[in-house]
Amino acid sequence: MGEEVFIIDWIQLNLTGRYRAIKELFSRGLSTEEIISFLGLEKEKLLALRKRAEQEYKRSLDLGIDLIPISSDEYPILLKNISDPPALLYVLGEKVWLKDNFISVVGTRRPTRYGINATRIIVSRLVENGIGIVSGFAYGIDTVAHTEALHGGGYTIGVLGTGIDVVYPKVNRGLRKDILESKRGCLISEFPIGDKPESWHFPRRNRIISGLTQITLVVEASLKSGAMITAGYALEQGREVFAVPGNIDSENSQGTNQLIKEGAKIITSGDDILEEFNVIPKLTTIRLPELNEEEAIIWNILNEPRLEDDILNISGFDVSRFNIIITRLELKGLIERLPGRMLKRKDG
Amino acid sequence: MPFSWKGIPIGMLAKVLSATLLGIEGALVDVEVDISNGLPSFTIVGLPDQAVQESRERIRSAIKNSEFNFPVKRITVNLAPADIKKEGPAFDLPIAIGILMASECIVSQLDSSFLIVGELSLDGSIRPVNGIISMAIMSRELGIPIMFVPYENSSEAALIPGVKVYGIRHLTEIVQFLNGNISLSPAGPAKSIRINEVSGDFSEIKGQESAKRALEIAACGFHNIIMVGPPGSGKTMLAQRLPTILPPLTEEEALEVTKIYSSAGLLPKGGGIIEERPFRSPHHSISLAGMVGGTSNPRPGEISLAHNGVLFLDEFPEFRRDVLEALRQPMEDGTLVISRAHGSIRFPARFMLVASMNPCPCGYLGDTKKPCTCSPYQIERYFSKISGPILDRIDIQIEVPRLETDTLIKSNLGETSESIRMRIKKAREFQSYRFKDGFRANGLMEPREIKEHCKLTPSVQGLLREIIDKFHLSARSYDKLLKVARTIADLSESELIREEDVLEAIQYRVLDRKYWEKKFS
Ligand SMILES: Nc1ncnc2c1ncn2[C@@H]1O[C@H](COP(=O)(O)OP(=O)(O)O)[C@@H](O)[C@H]1O
Ligand SMILES: [Mg+2]
Ligand SMILES: [Zn+2]
Repeated sequence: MGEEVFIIDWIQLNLTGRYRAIKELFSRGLSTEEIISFLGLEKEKLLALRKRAEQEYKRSLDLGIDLIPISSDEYPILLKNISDPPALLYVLGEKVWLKDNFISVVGTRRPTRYGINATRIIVSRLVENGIGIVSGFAYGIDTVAHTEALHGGGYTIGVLGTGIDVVYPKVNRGLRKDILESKRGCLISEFPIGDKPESWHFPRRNRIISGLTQITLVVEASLKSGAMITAGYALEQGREVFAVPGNIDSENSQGTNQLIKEGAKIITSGDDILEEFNVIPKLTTIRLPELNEEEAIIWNILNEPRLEDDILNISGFDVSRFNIIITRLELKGLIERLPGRMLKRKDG
Repeated sequence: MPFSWKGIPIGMLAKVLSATLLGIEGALVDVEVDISNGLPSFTIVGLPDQAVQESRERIRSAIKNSEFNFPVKRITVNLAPADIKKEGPAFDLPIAIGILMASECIVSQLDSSFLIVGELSLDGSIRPVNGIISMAIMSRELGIPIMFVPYENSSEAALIPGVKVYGIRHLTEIVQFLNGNISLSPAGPAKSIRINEVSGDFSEIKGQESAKRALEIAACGFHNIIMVGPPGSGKTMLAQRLPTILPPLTEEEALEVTKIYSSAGLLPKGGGIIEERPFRSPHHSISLAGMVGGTSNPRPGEISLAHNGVLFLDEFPEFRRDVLEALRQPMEDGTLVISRAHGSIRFPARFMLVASMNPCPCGYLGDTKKPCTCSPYQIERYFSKISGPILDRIDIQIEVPRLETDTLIKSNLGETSESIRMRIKKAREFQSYRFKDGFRANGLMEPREIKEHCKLTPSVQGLLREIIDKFHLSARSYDKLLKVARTIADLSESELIREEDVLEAIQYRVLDRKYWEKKFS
């Protein structure tokens, strides 16, 4: 009973949105009751919030949502240290931040193929070495980062700009399911259950992405991209910002190149990041799959993702034979296909 | 039998055989002319349309200007049967002949029945009409041995053996011939004609080997195909070169196509037989009527003009939704049925659909260089327009990526259309034993035919099951995969569908594949 009242207190506090003050008061050792009274809210408002908090609590039980107040040992430590941490986190899935090191990977919602490839290359290397990935569950680079982390057998955390139960963006419903069912990831939100994707949620949510980790990596971002906001928060929070360089004529690399100019560490491989974690990079396990001679030729050409036409030219196969070999490699689970007729080796 | 009349005047009554078009088929029409005493008048009855009504003025002038007397009497023309709508000016000539017979200016010296069609000019010269080949086919079927047709249509009519065709230039000419004053020699059959603008050669297409191979397979098996790729990747270029590798029409198919073009008045002057497969590429702004054909005045639409050939819909999702919807039924049945007050009219519409589209509204999804600026919602909506029943009938789905400029510059010329066409021709010969009981092409196989022609060894069956599983294909994909594999096997003249054929076929089903749905995964 006491526990329940206690959690409802925290929900109520969270609903006030007065994160700075709450953190301030809580770190001085005040109880929830004391903090509530300190905030000096009108009585009516207080009652309304209380009622809402009680409903919120009930719904979270129904939906299987974990509620983690800032007072909890399970609350992410790095996040606790920012100036305006949420008073309470809504969580679905495994609390994986307790298990591993994490890095935030963010970028544009409209990546180029380059941005996508860069994300995949770096993320797969990181998860291979036990670094988990925090991102914003948005379309684009975020989605690539989460997906790649799961594919590589790693951990991932999606920070939502909506209520924890809201499926947004809708096309990511599959990813949402994958994260939750994998037992290797979770979704986190500070917003009340059922909250819609309001545009003001997203920049605010970004401070949690950067706040959860020591390093924020920006893969591909235009100057106006939300990822730049996240980078800004990271700096404000005294965290580090890394960036992947890009072509100077690519709009999507103007933000990242700008960050580099301002002193962000240049990242051109996953190993550049592993250094920072003092992780000794694992030698990429060279798998010697059961390949026949023809398959081996294609496999060797695929040392990086390539356009089908290019592989065909290099290999010298006729197109019919080529397509047969490709299907065989796909069936063996060794290569995969990307939109735009690209092929790549499947990692892991 | 009504058509055994020899056009002999019966008192003041004359009967002449003529024909009209029902869709693209010829239909017999009896032209009866009665001349009686009374106030001078000239009436046409028997469901004539406006153009037929107007023929009275043309007939009157033509007869006068040919130095015959136009009877100053009460003239009644009946077009029978009454339940067929009579359209167009093709009854001018038979009515004029009927009048001249009834007024005894003509006493036919022929001892067999004949059929007349033709439009008259005011000076009595005779102008061509549409659909003559269909009328000739009808004449042969009804056993009418002689046709009088406009001179310009004569070699077209003469394509049908068993009917003697006289090409007529002027009203006086046919009158003198029927009266036995001059002799005419029957027309010889027309030559073959081209309807497609010749458009390049496959060798001009650099790289894109997979796309070219897919088009070869499509052309060989008459499979519907869709090409997905960013702007400038060469989709239009590829499609436009398809006619250069299509196998020739069979005789029966050539006749069907010629009938359609003739009835639409689309044969060039002098007519002829169409021996190449039509290639139609209507713009995406086309109306419903333009695509499927008019309903009030039935005329073949693009889908019929593409019969036995290719209907190329460039920028597929830009077409109006109702226009795309309307393709569904013809794609099932191979015909379009237009219902009218007096029965329905069928237009053949068995075409090979070739569609092209961008991968997303902005066009650059999956591109190596340019970012895609579409929202996920926009992309979902974009695909929803083409998915469903139409996509369901497309056997081959490929991606056409944009090639780097230096790849384009560096690459050598590819294989020529001629050499691809020879392969296809050989494969068609190999398939020919199947062409019975209405079998037309692998792409058009019905489930029963698939069962018969796509038998699999247990090991290939196992492989196919593995593929379906691994690539998460729907049950529907199964048949399509089989059909495409069948054509691939035919191309290497293999009776059996081998593992390789199935392994290759799956590469031409990209829209089925999961990777496509998840933009970034
Ligand atoms: N593979 C290729 N080989 C040669 N020329 C090409 C190729 N791909 C594109 N082009 C050139 O680019 C032009 C644009 O191609 P187009 O077929 O209009 O592309 P799309 O229809 O995909 O937008 C072509 O007319 C051709 O000149
Ligand atoms: Mg085009
Ligand atoms: Zn796009």
